[in-house]
Amino acid sequence: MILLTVLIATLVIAITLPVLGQRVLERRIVFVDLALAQVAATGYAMGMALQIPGVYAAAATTSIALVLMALMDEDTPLPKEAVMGAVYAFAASVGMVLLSLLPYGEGQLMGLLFGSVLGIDWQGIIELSVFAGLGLLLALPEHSNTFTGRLRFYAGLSLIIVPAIYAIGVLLVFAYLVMPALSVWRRGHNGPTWQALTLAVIASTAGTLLADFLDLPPSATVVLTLAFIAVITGLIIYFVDRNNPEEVEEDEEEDDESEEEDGPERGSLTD
Amino acid sequence: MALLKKSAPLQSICTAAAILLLLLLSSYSPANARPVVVATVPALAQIAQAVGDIDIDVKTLTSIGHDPNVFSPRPGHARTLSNATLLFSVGFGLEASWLPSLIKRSGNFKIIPGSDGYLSGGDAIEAIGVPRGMSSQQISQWSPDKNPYWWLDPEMGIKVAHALAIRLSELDAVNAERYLQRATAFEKAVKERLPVWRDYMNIHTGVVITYHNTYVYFMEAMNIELGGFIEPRSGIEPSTRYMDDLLTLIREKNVKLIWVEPYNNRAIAQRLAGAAGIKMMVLPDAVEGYGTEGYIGMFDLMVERVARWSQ
Repeated sequence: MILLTVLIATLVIAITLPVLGQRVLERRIVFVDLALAQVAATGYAMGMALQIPGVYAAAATTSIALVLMALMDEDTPLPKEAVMGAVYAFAASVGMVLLSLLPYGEGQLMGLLFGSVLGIDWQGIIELSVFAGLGLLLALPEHSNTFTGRLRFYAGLSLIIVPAIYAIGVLLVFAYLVMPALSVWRRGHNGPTWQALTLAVIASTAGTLLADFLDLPPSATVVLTLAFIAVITGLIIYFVDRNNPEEVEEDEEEDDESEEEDGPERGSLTD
Repeated sequence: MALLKKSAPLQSICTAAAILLLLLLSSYSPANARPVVVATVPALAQIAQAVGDIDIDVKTLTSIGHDPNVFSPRPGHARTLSNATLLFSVGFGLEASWLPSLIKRSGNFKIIPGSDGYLSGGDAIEAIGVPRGMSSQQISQWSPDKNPYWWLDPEMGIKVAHALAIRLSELDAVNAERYLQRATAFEKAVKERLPVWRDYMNIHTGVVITYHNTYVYFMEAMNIELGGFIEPRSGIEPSTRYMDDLLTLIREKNVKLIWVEPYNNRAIAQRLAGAAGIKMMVLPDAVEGYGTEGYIGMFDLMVERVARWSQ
C-alpha cells in the first residue's frame, strides 16, 4: 500500500517537473526552487512567531519574493543564480534565528522544508496534482520577458515547487526539476520534452520498485536511478550528435538565423 | 604639547590602574557565592533544582522543544558555561555534536569531561539493553550504548540525582548534607508517583510504535512493549518494504498508537497511522516547571496524554 502511493507520487512529479525544469534551465535560475521553498518556510516560522496561521504568512512572504524576483529583467547584467543564492541564504538565516526563539518550531519547519515521499497519502497526491496542474497552466504559456510574464512564471513555479517540497522533499523535487532537462539538453538549448518525460517516468517506476526490492530509502534510490538513466541518455545523445556533424551544423545555422530574427530560442512542449 | 607629553606617563599609570581594578572586580567572587550548575536539557535542570534548590543557581542550555541532538549554541551559551561550577549533561553522545566545542569556547577548564566540574548520565548509570518485544532484525539495528534518553525513566532520574548530590557535596561541602537530603526527598516523591503511572499505562497501553528510540527508557520503566521504530536509523528514510512490514506488525500485535517526538517530521508517522487506521500522537520529553514538581509533571503529562489518546 505504501509502495503504491510512493510510486504514484513519484510519477506525478515525473510528469510535471521535467517540463518546468526545461523552463528553469533556459532562464538559468536553477536555485529558484530552493530559494522559494526557503522563503515559504521562513514565512511559516514568522507566522508561528507572530501567532498567525503559518500557511498565510508563508503565502505572504512567498508573494513578496515573487514580486521582487519578477522585477528583475531576464537580461539583467546581474548573475541571476547569485541573486537566487542570496535570497536563499537570507531567508534561511532569518528562519534559523526564528527557530532558535520558538519552542517546537524546529520540527514544524523541518517538516515544511523536508517532506518525505513516504509521508504522502492519496489526499496528498490529489493536492500535489492539482497544484502541479495550476502551476503548469501559469508557467508554461509562451515565454514573456515582461513584469507580468515573469510574475506569472514565478507564481506558477512556486505553486508547483513549494507544495511538492513540502509533500515529497527537496531531494526528489530538485532532482526531477534539473536532471531530465539537463540530460536531453542539446547544444545550448532544451531538447525534446518527450525524451525528458520518458526518462523521468522510467526512473520513477524503476527506482521505486528497486528501492522496495532492495529495502533501500526510496527518495535517494529514485534519485540515483534517475541520475543513472539521465547520464546514459545524455551520453547516447552526445554520441549520436557527434556521428551526425552535418545535422549539428544545420541546427546551429537555424539557431543563428532564428536568434537574429526572434531573439534567443525558447524550449517548447512541441519540440 | 609639553604638558601633554608630561602627563602621558601619568595617563598610562591611571589607565593601567583602572584596567587592574576592573579585572579585580570582574574576578571577585564572594565566599558565599552559590555554585552555578548548567544543565544541557530542561529535565536535567529540574533534577538539579530538586537536589540543589536554593543552594545553587541552575541554568539550562537548550529549551523545551529543541532537539538536543542538533542544537545550535549561541555566544550567550558559551558565556553561561564560562561561569559554571558544574556542567550537568545527558551524555551517551546526545550532545556530542555541539557540547565539546562549546566547552572549549567558554574557556572554563573546570568543566571539561573527566574533571570534578563535569557530570553526565554516563557517570551514574548504564544505557539500557535491547528493549522487550524486538525482532531479531530490529535487534541487529539496536545500539544499546547509544540511547541517551535516560531522564525519561524515573528510576534512572533518581540514580542520577543521587550522583549529582554526591558531586555537589564535594564541590560545596558546607551544604553537603542538604544536597543528600534533597536527593532522598526527590527519590521519595518520584517513587510515590511511579505505581500510579504504571497502573495507568497498564490499563491504557498495549504495544506501541515510536519514531526514534527516544521513549525506550520510558517504555521500559512503564512496562510498555515496543513494536518497532518508524526510522530505525536516525536521519535515514526507511524503505517502502520496511513500512509495509510495520503495517503487518501493527495488525498482528494490535498496535493502537504511534508516538512521535516533538521535533521529528510527522508526515511519515501520520502516513503509517493513516494506512493502519490507528492514532499518531506527539509525546513531550520535557515540560515547564521547577525542580521535583517539574520533573514529575513531565511524567504526569506523558501518562495523561497517552491515556487520553488510547481511548
